[in-house]
Amino acid sequence: MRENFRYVLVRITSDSVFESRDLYRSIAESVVSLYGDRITAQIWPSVMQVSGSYAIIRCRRGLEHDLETALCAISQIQGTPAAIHPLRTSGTIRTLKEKMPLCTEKRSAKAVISGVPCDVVVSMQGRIDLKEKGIYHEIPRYITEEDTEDLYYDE
Amino acid sequence: MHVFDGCVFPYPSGTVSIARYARELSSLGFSGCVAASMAPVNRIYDIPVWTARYLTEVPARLLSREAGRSVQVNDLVYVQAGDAGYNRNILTTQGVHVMTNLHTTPKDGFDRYCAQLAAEREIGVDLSVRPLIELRDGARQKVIRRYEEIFTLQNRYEFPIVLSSHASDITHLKSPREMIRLFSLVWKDENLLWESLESICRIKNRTGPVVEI
Repeated sequence: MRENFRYVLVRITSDSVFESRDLYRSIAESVVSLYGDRITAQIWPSVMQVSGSYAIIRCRRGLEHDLETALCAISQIQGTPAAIHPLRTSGTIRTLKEKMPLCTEKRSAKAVISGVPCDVVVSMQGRIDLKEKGIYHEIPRYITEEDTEDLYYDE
Repeated sequence: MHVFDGCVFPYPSGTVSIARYARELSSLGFSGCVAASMAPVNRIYDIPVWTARYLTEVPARLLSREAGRSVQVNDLVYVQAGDAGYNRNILTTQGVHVMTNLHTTPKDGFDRYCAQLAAEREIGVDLSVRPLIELRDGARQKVIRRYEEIFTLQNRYEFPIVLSSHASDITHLKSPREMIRLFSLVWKDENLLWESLESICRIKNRTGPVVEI
């Protein structure tokens, strides 16, 4: 008999990029930890596609709310702090692919924050993430353009 | 509808600036947040940011003074809960808006009398989503049971509940829908959970009881 599935588009918030295998392990651990093996077998989670910081996760129809709850309960992937934000649910992968944002471009730059010059990554809407390690206790790591004193992009 | 994240910890307690929190929370669907710090004066963010003084381990005899001092410079006063006696002290102190970290209190730390006091004085009980995410096995089960007890008392006495992410990093932030999903593990009434996301506005703008002259 043919199974009915639902597909969930998620956004991954992390400094690293993950493979679908890493993502699957975290999702499976979270679902099992929350619901146990019996419900996990019913939910049948599976990673269909990973594209940058977006991914499409599959589950059995009717259990997508349980899957979303388990996705929200993920705090790390492969030991790296990360969050998974469910965005949309659909009956087909094609619909979610259409909704997946195309422009996720990030640019390298240099910024001066509280007098400290450092390498940064600038993404959409002026979001700035610091790349340098060892200075985070002196300045915040996640900022916006307004928090910088000077910002110039790498050529 | 004013959906607020009840408490976030910006830099230096966390790794994120207030402006970045405001931008992230705005894109996640919140219409405001409470930052447990001092905010720069005359700075406008993407969403309204209220500041709170987060009092931890303040001796009971100094609580009144500290809470009074905080009201002058911050929008809200949050106090970390303790044992039952200390919690009653918090709930009878003028100027306290929200009691936090109830999941770490000893058993019976928040009883019926505390619930009644919180309801009468419109003091919010802050429930953090972080233990539900970061803890596993027995520790998480204990937190779920504790939260369930608080929701049961809320159902009877109707004190305000404040839902918060207690985020100190960008990965700790959750959207309103995600918070509802996680708290629905504890309590199934989604209307109450949505109301809890809005309750901080009511607590901030609370007025005293009507007194017969």
